[in-house]
This record gives sequence, C-alpha cells and structure tokens, in this order.
Amino acid sequence: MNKITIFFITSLIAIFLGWGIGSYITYNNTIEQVGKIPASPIITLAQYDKKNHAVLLSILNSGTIPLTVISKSFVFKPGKDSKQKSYEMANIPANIVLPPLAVTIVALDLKKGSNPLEAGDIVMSTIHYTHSLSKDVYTVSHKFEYTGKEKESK
Amino acid sequence: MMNFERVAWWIFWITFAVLIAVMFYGFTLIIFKATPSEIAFVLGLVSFFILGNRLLFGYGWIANILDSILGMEDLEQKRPVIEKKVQEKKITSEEEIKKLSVSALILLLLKDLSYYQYAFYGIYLLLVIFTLAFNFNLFGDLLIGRYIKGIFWGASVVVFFVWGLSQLSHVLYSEFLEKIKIKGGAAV
Repeated sequence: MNKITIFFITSLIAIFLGWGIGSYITYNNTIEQVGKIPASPIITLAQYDKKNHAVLLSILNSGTIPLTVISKSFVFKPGKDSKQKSYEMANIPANIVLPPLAVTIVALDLKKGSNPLEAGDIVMSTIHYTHSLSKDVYTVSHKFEYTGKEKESK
Repeated sequence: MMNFERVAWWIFWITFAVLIAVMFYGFTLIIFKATPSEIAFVLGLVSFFILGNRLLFGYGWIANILDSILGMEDLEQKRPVIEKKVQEKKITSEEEIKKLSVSALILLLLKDLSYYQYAFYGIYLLLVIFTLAFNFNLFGDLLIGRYIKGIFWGASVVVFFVWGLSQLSHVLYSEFLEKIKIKGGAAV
C-alpha cells in the first residue's frame, strides 16, 4: 500500500460511514415523527357468532397511539329470507382501548330475542373512537353482509 | 499607550466572554433538541474516543514525525524527540535507546501501540456482534437495540480514524525504510 491507495480507501470508507450515520439519524427521527400521528383503525374481518348472537369485528390499530372506542352502533337491514321485517337500529356505549399495532376483536351484540341472521341480511356497523391528541370523535363504518357461511368462534 | 492597551484588552475579554456565552447557548440548544438516538451516537463517539485516545495520538504522532523526517535531508535530525518519546513509554533503558537506530526506535513505538490496538478492535468487534444481533432481532424487538446502533455508529467514526492513522504510519514507516536503503546509511 502507498499513500494514494490509503487516500482512496479512507475516502470510500468515509463516504459509507457518513451515509450510514446520516441514514440512522434520519430513520430514527422519521420514526419518532410518524409515531406521533394517530392512525385510522382498519376492520380486517367481520364474523357472525351465532351462539352469542353477535357480530365480531376484528379491528387493526395500525398506528402507534392507542385509540378508545366510545360507542358502537349498527343499522340492521333484513334480506329476502329474513323473518325480521323492518329496519333495526341500536347504539351501544362502550369503553374499549385498541392497543397500538395490534388486532382487537370487538363484539357487536344484536338485540336479544331477535331472530338469528339469515343469508342476505346486512348489518351496517359504525365504530366511534377518540384518541388522546384531540377531543373529536371519529367514526369508521363497515358494511357486513351475512352470507350464511358460519364461522364459529369461542 | 498604556491606556490604549488596557482598553484593547478589555474589548478582547468582553468579546471572548460573549462568544463563550453564545457557544454555551448553542450547545444547550443542541442538547435539548437532540433525540435519544443522537445522544446515543454522541455517547458512542465520546466513549470510544476515550478508549482509543492513546492509539489516535500515538499513531498520529508517529505519522507526523515520519512525515517531517521524510522531508529532511538529515535523517538523524529528529532523533532527540523520538528518544524522549521512547523514554516516556519506559520500554527500554536509556543506554539501550542510545545504541538503537531511529528506525528501530520508531518500530518500538509502533510495537508498543499494537497491543492497545488489539484490545480496542476487540471491544469494537463485541459491539459489532451485539449490533448485528439486535439488527436481526435475535434478542427480540427491544427498544435498546435502536440505541446500541447509535453507539455503534459513533464508535465506527473513532475506529475509522484509528485505522486510517495506523495504516498511514505504517506506510510512512515503509517509505522511511526505502529512503534509508537509497541513502545506504546503515547507521540510521
């Protein structure tokens, strides 16, 4: 090795070192900034639990801030085969915390005494939630159409 | 004349104090605005700088003195300085130092630093292993892994400088030996 070789090798290493340090600091600052933004919950799956007469919603909180569900409401629209012949509406207050980066299953209890769902019935559910950064109430709506295929859950 | 000097001194001291105050203000702002990962980076930099202090200044000193010797006609001119440095290190006795050539004395200094170099690189290697383990989530997804990475990047800067200076001093030493060969001076 001579001095010129050392010059080139050290310059190359210095470039990569600076690249690494810069990207490390930028990445961590970005993560910190993004972590402060609350995400909207995503309903990944809806199932009908026949035994408990409830619709189970799997809600993914994709952000890093916990969200609190303050109430659940639904509108029931009967299908062709249904014996329930009218629109049904309900609003149920709740206090469910959705932990960050996790899926939480929320049960939407249908009215007791009403007939079990038939294929073609539609349950339009709305989740009202808040987070710690503002006093506003946000909503997520999900249309669940019961196909008759039963998925038993615990 | 006396008065003018006094006024000039006062102006100097006031400017100096203001400059220091502004610098402290700037530093405190930097520290307060720093993110945890930046503080981890600085911690790694400072701790490895303390660890590699002897190597940095040792190789820096050797590279510097070899560079000045290579520019001189008389290769023995810097002998007293090098002798003093070897005496400070307490490697051999004074009579032995007088007998040795300049190249042998520099070789002694390089050899003295190589032990510290192994310890330094060993600790850095441990840090690299831990960083890789955290990078591939071998210990699970822990928050501390993020800061270990910052310490790694801070340490890498110091390791880069130590490596570069050691390479430079070795290259200059081989150039020095070449020059002795050309001069044909066995005494040097």
